Amino acid sequence: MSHTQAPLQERVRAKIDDKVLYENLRNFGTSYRVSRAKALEGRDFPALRRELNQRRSLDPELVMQRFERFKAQAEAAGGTVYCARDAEDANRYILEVCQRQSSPIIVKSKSMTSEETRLNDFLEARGITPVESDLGEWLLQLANEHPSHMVMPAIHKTRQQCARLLEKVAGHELDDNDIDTMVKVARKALRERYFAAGVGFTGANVAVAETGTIATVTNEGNARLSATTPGVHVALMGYEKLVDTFEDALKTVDLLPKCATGQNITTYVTWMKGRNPSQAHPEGLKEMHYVFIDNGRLGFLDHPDFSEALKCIRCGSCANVCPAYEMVGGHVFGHIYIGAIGLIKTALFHGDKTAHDIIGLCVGCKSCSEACPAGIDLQHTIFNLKGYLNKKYGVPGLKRFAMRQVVASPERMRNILKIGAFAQAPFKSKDGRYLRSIPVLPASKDFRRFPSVSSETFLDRFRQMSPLQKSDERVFFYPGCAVEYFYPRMGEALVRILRHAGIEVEVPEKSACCGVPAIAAGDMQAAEQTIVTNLGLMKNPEDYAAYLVLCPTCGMGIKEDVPQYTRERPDEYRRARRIASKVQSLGQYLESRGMRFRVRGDRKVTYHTPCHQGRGMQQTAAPYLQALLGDQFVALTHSDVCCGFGGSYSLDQAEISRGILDKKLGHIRESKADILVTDCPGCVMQIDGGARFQKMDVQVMHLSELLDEHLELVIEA
Amino acid sequence: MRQQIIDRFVHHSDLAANRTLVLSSAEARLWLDEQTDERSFLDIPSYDRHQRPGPIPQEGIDLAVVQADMGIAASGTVAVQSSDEQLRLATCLAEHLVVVLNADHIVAELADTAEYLRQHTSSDCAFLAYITGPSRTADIERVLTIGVHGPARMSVLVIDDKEHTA
Repeated sequence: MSHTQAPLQERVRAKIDDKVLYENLRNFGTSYRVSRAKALEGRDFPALRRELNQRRSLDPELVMQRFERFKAQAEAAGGTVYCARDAEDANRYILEVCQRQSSPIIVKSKSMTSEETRLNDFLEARGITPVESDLGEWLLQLANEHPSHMVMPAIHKTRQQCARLLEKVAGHELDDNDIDTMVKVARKALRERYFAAGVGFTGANVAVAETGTIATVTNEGNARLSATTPGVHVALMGYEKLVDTFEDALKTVDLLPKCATGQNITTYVTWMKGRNPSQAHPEGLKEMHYVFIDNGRLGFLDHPDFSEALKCIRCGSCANVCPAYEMVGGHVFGHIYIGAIGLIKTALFHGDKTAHDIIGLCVGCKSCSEACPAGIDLQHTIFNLKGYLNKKYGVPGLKRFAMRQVVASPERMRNILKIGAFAQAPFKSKDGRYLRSIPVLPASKDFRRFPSVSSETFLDRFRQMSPLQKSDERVFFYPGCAVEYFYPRMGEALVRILRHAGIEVEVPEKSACCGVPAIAAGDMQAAEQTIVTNLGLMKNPEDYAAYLVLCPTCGMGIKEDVPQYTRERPDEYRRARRIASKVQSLGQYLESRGMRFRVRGDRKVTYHTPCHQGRGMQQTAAPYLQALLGDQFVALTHSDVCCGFGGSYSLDQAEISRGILDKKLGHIRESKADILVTDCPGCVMQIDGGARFQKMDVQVMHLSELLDEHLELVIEA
Repeated sequence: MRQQIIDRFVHHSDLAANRTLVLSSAEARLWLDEQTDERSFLDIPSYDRHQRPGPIPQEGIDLAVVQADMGIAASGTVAVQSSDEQLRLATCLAEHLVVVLNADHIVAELADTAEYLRQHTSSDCAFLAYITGPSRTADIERVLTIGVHGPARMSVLVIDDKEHTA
């Protein structure tokens, strides 16, 4: 199997153009959400995953204790336990077991760990014949390919492609649409292999220390058969598979199928211990080998960021909910491990250069963190990993310049954008809001109408608005760069609404970036610079009832990153924490203050939940809008799926961004709404940009604009 | 409460594409007489029915009837002790697998089977099979196909002799 690859962008493009992959992944993504929700109905998922996360503690001492207990039990029952240092060591041990048998065939049930070690390649090169028994994996063996998904390895293959592969085995033509017959062909061919094999190979979904028992989960029945027909059974697993008790094991077995495929449970869960009767073995008892592999894992057990990744139960959820994965599949979004966890595991096991190549594919939507049943904050780890990788391999030149020299300095940023506001004049649309075209932008990146840089910044405009004579309450509004330079009208709307309600609004003297773009680019130095500057401009938290944001990315930045970057300076940290506790989105604030609005007109409104609002600030404006608008509010299908913006992602990975946006625009069309409202200027930039480019009728606006223009505040007497 | 658990088991067993029948012992014996023949593999300790027509061949057999230790209501799962190699092969390679389950041996949730697993894996060797429906795959374009490496059909006989209990 070839491991040299075309450059990333070529690989991305090839997958984007693959219509079959697009349909398969999209259909799965949609049905998965439904069946997973059904499988988890009535279960407290947040509590379950917290529990699973805690029980799978990876304290190195605990892990070794578990291992020693397992080993003692397994050996007392007549099994052999081997500790493999690395991939080569594990492969070699397994090779030697195979070489001692009269048959060169080893029948395998699905094991990601064996993919990690490239066991099949190793054995084939040395005269042993590994045969995958999982139908999808076997088809891929025939096609000489790697799996593109942990649970549905051949999801990228069409029925036509499968038919052609199986015809070679069947020896006659097969009807592309007769899937039943195709499966029967596989059943017959693999049945022969099961009985011809000298060794049966499985992974282990869990290894239970208390009695030395391993468990496998399958739907096909291939693990139990692989573990039955030959006289020898080899099980390969990482140390992280070890759990203490059956109670722990069952927590994993319970969540895994629900999150992997939305099934209640897999058809087979097989618990194996010791040397079971085996006719094929001269001793009449199965020869058992348990191969525990390190390959770097043990070193990461107490790593502050990466140890969490070892709690992965291989369900594939993080791929199933990833909007970028859904566009390109696992052959691009991953290396051997795929999906969000794949980006991390590639760094752990397959070299950080390879990881650096693909880490930029993450759009930053946090869906993976929300979906993970092991409670791993995958997004957080990916962000940190990007930081490490960029430090090692460097942030791309132009980005580094932009972050350090421009974004980190409020004056310079303001000046450059002022110049930009002036220079863009010839390119502006008639109404001045958009740029008609951008000369240097390649066609592949051209899928949106960009907003023009505003000739006056928000702060310029704010200073022209009259303050209240008196007010009972004051809030601090942090505009952020998008509102300041591109959408000052969103900020003005907020000020109008609040002042109308008798609440005074104050703002920073100067606009400084919240630091998130620098963090996302992996430039921690620039981030720290701008964060400290920004904090200095945020005045005294005791003077304000709330700190309001119109951009949830800034909101997350102020809540999480500002304290993080000031933790070594106690006074600033204390202030940062105080401010963080008061950060709210406009919608949150209005709802909590019980502000009511009367609806003007009869426009139908639908709402897109920004990733950083729903999964970041943990709040959505949908219920509030529903209450305000009644029948005029229409729910948007997949409202909380990313719009594809991701900041500079929409330029760096324009094709994926565009694909994700197209799905969003399709749902908006289906909703038949007149207005798409959202509470993130980045999402507005993306969705409005795409809607204008595609000449859709729908108006796209921020919540503040909707409330200002289309509703009327009801003032209580 | 007992009836609730039985109903819940039947519901999920049906969802898993099993044919699920609730029978009294007498009805079950009758069913077995009608549905099995001399070629069937039978291992039903409760009814003292044992029949092994011969070693299980590679092509498989038509019918195997075994007994479950217990069932799980939440998923329609049956737990079958399968350390016995011929029994294991029979359950793996029968076209039609029938499992006899005593209604009193159904627990509510997967988590309730921890003690069972602990006890039965405390000996030298164990092979405990949790089975939920016939074997299946969706590996070709996500089209669900029943009957891959294992049984293509599965039936569960839930033995409920409630009329006979006090």
